[in-house]
Amino acid sequence: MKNNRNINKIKSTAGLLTAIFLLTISFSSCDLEYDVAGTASIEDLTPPSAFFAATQNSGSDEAWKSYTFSNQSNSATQYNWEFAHSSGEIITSSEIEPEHTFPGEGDFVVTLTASDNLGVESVYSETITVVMPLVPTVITPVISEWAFEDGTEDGGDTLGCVFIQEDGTPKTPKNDGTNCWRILGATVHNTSSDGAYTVPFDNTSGKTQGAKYPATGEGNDRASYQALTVTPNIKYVVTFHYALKNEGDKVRVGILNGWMDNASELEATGFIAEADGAVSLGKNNFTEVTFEFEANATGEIAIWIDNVSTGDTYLDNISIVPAP
Amino acid sequence: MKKLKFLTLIVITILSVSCEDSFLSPELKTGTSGDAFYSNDQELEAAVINIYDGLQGVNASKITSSNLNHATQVEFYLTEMRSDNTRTKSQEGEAAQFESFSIEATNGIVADYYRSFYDVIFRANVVLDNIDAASETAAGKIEGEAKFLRAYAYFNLVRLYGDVPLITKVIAPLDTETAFTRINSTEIYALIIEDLQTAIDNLDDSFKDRASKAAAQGLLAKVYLTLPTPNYAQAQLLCEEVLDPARGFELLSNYSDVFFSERNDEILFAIGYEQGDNNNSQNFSAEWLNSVGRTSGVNYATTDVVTALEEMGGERTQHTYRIDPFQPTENQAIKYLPNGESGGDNGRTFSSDAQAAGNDWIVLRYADVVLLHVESILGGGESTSNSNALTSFNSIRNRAGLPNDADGVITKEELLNERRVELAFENKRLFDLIRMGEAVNVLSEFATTNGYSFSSTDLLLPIPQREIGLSKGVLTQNPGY
Repeated sequence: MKNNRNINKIKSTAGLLTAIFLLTISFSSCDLEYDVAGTASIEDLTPPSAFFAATQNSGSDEAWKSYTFSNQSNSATQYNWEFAHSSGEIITSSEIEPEHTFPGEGDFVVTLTASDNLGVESVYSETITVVMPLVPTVITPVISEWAFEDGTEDGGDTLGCVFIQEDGTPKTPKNDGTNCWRILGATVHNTSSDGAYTVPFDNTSGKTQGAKYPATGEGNDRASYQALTVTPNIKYVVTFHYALKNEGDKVRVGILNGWMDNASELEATGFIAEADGAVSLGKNNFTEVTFEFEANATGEIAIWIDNVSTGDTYLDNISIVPAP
Repeated sequence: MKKLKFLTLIVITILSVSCEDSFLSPELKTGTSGDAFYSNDQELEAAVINIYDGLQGVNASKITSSNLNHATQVEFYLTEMRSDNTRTKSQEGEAAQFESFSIEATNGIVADYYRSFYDVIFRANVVLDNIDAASETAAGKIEGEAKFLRAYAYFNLVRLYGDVPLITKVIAPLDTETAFTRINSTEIYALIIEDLQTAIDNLDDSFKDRASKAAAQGLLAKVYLTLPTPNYAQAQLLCEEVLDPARGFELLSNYSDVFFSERNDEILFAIGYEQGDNNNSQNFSAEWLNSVGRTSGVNYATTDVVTALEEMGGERTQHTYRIDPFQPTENQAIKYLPNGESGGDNGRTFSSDAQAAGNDWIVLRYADVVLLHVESILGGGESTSNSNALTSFNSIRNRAGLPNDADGVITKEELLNERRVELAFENKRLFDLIRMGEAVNVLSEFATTNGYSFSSTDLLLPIPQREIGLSKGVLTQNPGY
């Protein structure tokens, strides 16, 4: 019996709890209201961000006017591009990555509006400066004292070269047609009044000053050096005039593959191209030589002039121009 | 009372023991630890080999646990299959995201490669952090090798993922800031150039499956051409140094020998693999064939590249792709046939274990540098008729049994095409297109023809979602993902 009574007790307790529970629900349920989730009721946690990069096209004649746009926006689904032309006209596009041709040179504002499906927008704009690409110009090197003349006029030292001597001090320019042709480790050419006519070429002489290189191997060897900058990998034509006194003599003009600090580096530097003047017509009878070379990767080259001879050799009017 | 005595004894014991300094950090006497290990040349040398091991990656066919680093063995997915050269055979699954330019940030292969190459960088940094332990004679070479490999890893990462975290020393696990802050690619390139310069100064040409001076020069030339503002003159000078006949590199007369005679004169740097060795073999050779590897076939040649090869490949074509003998509607890449075996009549029967192939992966070869020489002379222009450029260009054509360039003018398009057929299936095509500014044009057209959707943000891979998750909000995603 004892046990039975206990069971009844439990039953009644359970009944009471159930009743309270139901009562609570019925009371509170009267207060319940539901909101239907509407647009924008939840914050847009991944708002769009608009960004783009523009690349100018290349290739055919007019290609520079058009740009390819790289769309770098995040979290967006729709895009609206506005290209403002200077005429006030605005051209729009809804492509993801449009290509656009501008009317010509000038500043143009490009605006990208990126939006997502919740209607949140992000705007990015950038001014594109359209410029016709420069045709790469080929350098024509300025050779100072190209005609070995005195003074600072054309043919003389137009660049105002200053030679730094062995002890580190600058040599006072003499403006005698040798300023720009000196290098440590070599003695520069003599100047001589037995030069060639200046251009156009004429095979008679004595008209202008030129460079003279005396007989070699007698302790009076001479050489000339001038560093130049040209356009890398482009073909150039070198022209010079020379005269030799004795048979078997020769004068050499070489284009060095780099700049030197001392004539002792000659072999290590090496020539890109060189040409000998070896036809002996006697003093005052000049011959013209032309040869071609292709510039190196850096465009840093130099002219080197020396001779192997038993008598005086003469050189004048050296020029370097891009090959046609 | 008895209990109390016992407790007192314990307390006293603990106190007396805890007085020793090394109680919390005892010196390891029975094994080796990273703190004390790198103490001489031999141990540092082991650490250098460890970097190559990282680059090699795990052979997924032989060691199958997931989440291992497969490094170079999965590189073709991210590069060649993301270009117009190759695709999966089935066009299904995670691997097919690459060919259709629809890669998800959760792509496991993208995460694998990223993880692998940061592991390579970690291994290199371990060597560099301990370089003081090296002897004076060995230090230069060890440093040069570690820096070459670190530069190579960063060069791949920066080209594939864009701005990436820059880690130049071993960092602690909680250093989230360094591990996940994306650094502007300009700074990444500055480190790559500096590291490669060190490698050039310290290495010689004695290895082909380890770092060498020539490899560092060739790679640096490519880096100079890849920079946002390329340095064409420096690139040309570096190429010309490698091209110097005294260095001993040359184009092999037989194109096929380049791939099937290891460490030949055309190789500047290759990642070595050992046939049949589970720890040092590769499985990509098998994956590229019809159900020989774990996949039904990946890195299959597209119709686009087959057309290009037939038109412009010359003698190279027959050594570059073949019709799948088992499924004749498909075309396979055959530069890396497992252990040099063709696979018999059905292309699937091998006497050796094809899934444990020993073919070395060629990272840089002489022909690549010869064409980089042309590219540096072209200097970003549309064409060149420079005689040195023509000599280089024609040497590649002549080896393939093709005549000299017809009009003596090399255009950018001709150069890109020549590179495509010379270096097909060598993971170069995508980078070539990007470097020469033609990626958007070429890949958009390719995507349109094949019904894929391409946009310019597809040129960079997504930063793996897993890494972003680990970074506590520091690592940001690339646009378009």
